[in-house]
Amino acid sequence: MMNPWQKKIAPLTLALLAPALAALTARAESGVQAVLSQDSVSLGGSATLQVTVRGNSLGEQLAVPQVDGLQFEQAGVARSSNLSASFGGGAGGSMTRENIVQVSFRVVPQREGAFTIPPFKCEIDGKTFATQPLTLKALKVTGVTSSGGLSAAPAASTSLPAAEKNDAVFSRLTGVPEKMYAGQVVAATMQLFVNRAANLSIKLNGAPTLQGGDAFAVAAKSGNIAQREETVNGVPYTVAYLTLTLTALKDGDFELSAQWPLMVVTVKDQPAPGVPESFLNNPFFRGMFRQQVEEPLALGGDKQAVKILPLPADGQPASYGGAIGEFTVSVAAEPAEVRVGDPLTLRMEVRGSGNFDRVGAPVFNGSDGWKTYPASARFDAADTLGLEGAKVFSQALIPQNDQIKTLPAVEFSYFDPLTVKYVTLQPKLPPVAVLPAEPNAAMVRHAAPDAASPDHGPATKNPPLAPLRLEEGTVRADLRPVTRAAWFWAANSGSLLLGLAGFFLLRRYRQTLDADYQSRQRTDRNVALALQALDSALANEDSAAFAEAASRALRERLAGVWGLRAESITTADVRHRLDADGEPALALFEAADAVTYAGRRLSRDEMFNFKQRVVAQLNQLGAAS
Amino acid sequence: MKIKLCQGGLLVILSLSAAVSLSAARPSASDFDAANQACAVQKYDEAIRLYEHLLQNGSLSASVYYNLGNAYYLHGEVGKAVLGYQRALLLEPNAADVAANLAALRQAQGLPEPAVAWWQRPLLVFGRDTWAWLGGAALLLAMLAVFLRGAWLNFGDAEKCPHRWFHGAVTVSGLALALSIGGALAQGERADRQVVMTNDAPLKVSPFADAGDLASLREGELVKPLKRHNDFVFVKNTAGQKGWVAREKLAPVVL
Repeated sequence: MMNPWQKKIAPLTLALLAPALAALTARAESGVQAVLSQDSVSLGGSATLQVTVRGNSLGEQLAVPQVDGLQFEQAGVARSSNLSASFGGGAGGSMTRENIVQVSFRVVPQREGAFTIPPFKCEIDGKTFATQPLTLKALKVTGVTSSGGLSAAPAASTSLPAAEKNDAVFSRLTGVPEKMYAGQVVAATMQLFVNRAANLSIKLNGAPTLQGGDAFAVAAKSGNIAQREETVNGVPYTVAYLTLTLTALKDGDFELSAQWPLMVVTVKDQPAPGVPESFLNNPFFRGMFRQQVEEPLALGGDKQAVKILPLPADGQPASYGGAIGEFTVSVAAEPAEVRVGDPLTLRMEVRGSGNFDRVGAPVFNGSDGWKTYPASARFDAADTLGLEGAKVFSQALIPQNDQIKTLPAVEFSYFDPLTVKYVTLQPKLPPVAVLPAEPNAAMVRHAAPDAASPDHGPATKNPPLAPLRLEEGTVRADLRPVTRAAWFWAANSGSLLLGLAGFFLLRRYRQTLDADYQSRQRTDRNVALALQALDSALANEDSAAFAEAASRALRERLAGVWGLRAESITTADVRHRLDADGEPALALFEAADAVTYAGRRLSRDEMFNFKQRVVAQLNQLGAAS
Repeated sequence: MKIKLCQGGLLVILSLSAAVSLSAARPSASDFDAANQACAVQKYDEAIRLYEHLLQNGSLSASVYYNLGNAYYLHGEVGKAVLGYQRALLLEPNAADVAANLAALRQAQGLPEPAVAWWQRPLLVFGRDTWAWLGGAALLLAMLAVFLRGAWLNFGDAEKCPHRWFHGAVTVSGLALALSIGGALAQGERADRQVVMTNDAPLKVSPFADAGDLASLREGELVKPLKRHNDFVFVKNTAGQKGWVAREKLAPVVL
C-alpha cells in the first residue's frame, strides 16, 4: 500500500528512471506493417512506402527487398518510444515500454507493368515478423483525345488500352458539333485531364492550339487557361481548360484536334550538373541535388471530325445578311411625333445568340417617303465569348412629306442551324405621327448647284444653302481666344492692382476715422469721471474738491477739442485760445481758481448753480468738437 | 487729383483698345474674291485651296471660315464643312447664315444637334472674346471705382464723397463680371468641342487599336474631349456615349 506522498512522487520517479527500468518492463505489442500511398503510379512519378516497426527490443536493421523494375530510396527514418505504467492491487503495478521505428521509402518504377513488393522482414524481441506483400502498378504516361465521353473508342496508334485510358493524362475537345454551317460560330472548350493520384509533374510549354487546317477562325476570348477539379468515373482529376470560339469559314470535311505542348519533369537518381556525387549519399541533400529532366509529352492523337456545310440557297430571303443562330428583334422610335424634314431615330435591337459579328441592321421593306441614313451599331455582349447579347442599331430617318402614316416596315432574317431553316422576323412598329414642316428660315435663299462640275465631290444631294459672303469682314491672325493671351491677363492684373490700391486707401481712411473716434471716447469718459467727482463734492459741500472737479471737467473737454493733454491746459491757454464765445468758459475757470487758490468757500446753492453752468459749457464745447 | 486719376483710367482703356487693333492683320481682299469666284463656278477644289491659303497667311475671319465650310460641303466633305462652320460661329456667334447652313447640313446628313442647356442660350449671344472683353472692362470699372472712392476720402472732401455712385458702379460691374465669366465658360465649352472627320469612326472601349467597338461616330458629329491617352481621345458624343477615338479621326475647333 502506497501512502499519499508515495502516490505523488511515483510518476515523477518513473519518468526519470524510465531508461533504467526499460529492462524491467513487461511485454509490448510487437509487429511490422507496410503501407503504400497509392496502388498505381505513372512512369516518371513515384509512390511512398512507409514501414512501421513496433516492439520492445528491435533487432538488426530492416531488410529492404529487391524487386526487378522498382527502385527503393530511403526518404527518412523516425524513431519514438512510449512508456506506460499501471498501478493496481497488491501486486505493485507494471510498466510497458514500446519502441516505434518508421522508415519511409520512395518507390520509383523503372518500367511499365505490375509489380509485387515482397514482405519486409524484421526481428523483434527475438522473433521474426514480416509484412504482407504489396502490389504497385506502373503506368506508361501518354494521352488520347476524345470528343465525347471517356468511353469513346480509342483511335489511332497513340491511344491507350481502354482500361487505362483515363488513368494518366488525356485531353478533350467539347462543344464542337459534328455538323456546322459556313459562318456559324460555336463555343468550344479544350480540356486537359491530369490524374491527381499519378503524382505527375507536368509543365505547359506554350499555349495550347487547335489544329484544324484553315477551315476555322479560332479566337480565345476568355484569355488565360483556367483550372478546376473534377471526378470522372470515381477518379479525381485536375482539369486545365481554355474556352474559345470557332467560326466555320468554308464548307467541306475537316478534322479538329487539340494540341497541348506538355513537358514531363522526371527526377533522375543522379546528381544535377555541377553537383558532387557524394551529395546523393546524404539523405538530406539527396532530394535537393538530383537531376531533373524535362521530356516532351505528346498528346492529341485523336481527331474530331466536323462537316461544314454551305448555307442552303433555297429559301434564302432577300433580307438575309449572314446571321446564324437564334434571334429576336424589337423596334422603337424617338420622337413619336416628327415634322417633315426633321430627323427621327429608329432603334432596332437584335437580341439572341449567334454570330453577332455578321448580324447586320434589319432592312427596310420599302421606305417610300422616308430618307434613310446608314445605321450605327453597338453590341452589348451577355457572355464573355460574345455569342449572346443584343446588337442595337440606331438609324436616322427623315420624313419627306406629311402624308406618311407609319414607319417603313423593317425585316430581319437569320439562319437557324438547329431547324436548318431561314427565319424572317417582321417586328411590330411603333406608331409615329408626321406633321407638316415649319416654314423654312428666311436665310436659306440660295440653292446649291447640282453635282455636275468635274471637280465636284461625291454626288450627295445637298440642301439649299445660304449664299457665300462677299465681304471678308473683321480679320484676325489667330483663332485662339483673347483669354489665352498674356497681355490680357497682364491688363486685368493692372485692374486688380488699381483695386488693391483703392482698398488700401479705404482702409487708411477708416483707420483715421477710428483714431478720432477713440479720442472722443476717451474725452467723454474723463469728463464723466470729473462730473462724478463734482457731484460727490457737491454732496459733501466740499468747495475745494468741487472747484477742482469742475476745472478738470472743463480741461478734459478742451483737451479733446484742441488735441492736447488736459494737465497741460492752463487758464492762460483758455484765455488765449478761446475767442469771445469762450467767455463763459473762461469765467468758470477763473471762479474755480478763486476757490482753489484764494480759499473762497461756496454755498450749496452756489455750487449747484456752478455745476449747471459747467454742464452747459461742456455740452456746448462737445457739440463744437 | 481726381483729374489725374481719370486720366490714368482712360490711359489703361486706350492701351487695351490699341492692343486689340494691333492684333488684327490686314485682310487680302483679292484672294478672298478669287476664292469666291472659284466657288461660284463650282471649282470647289480651287476655292478650298484659296480659302485655306488665306487662313494659312493669318487672314482668319468668320467670312472665310463660312465660305470654306460651304465649299467643303458642296465638295462632299462633311467633317471639314462642319469644322469651318463651327470656327465661323466661334468668331461670329450670332451669324444667322452660318447657323442656317450648319443646321441644313445636319438635317441633310442626319447628324444630331448638340444640346444646349436653357441657361446657356442667352450666354451664347456673344462670343468668348466679347465676354472676355466685357469681363475685363467690368473688372477695370469696379477696381477704378474702389480706387477713386479711396482717393476721394483720403485726399478730397470726405463729406462730399458720392458714396452711392461708387457703390452702384461696383455692384453693376460685379454683376457684369459674373455674367462675363459665365458667358466665357459657356462659349469655351462650345469651342473645346472636336469634329469627327471620318465616317464610321469607331468609339472604342479602351485606348488601343484592337479594343472592342462601343459604337461608331459619323463624320461631322461633334464630340466633347474629356481626356487623352497617347493617340486616343476619350470623348462624349451628343447622345451621351463615352469612349475612345483615335486622335487622327478628330479635329479641334480651336487648336
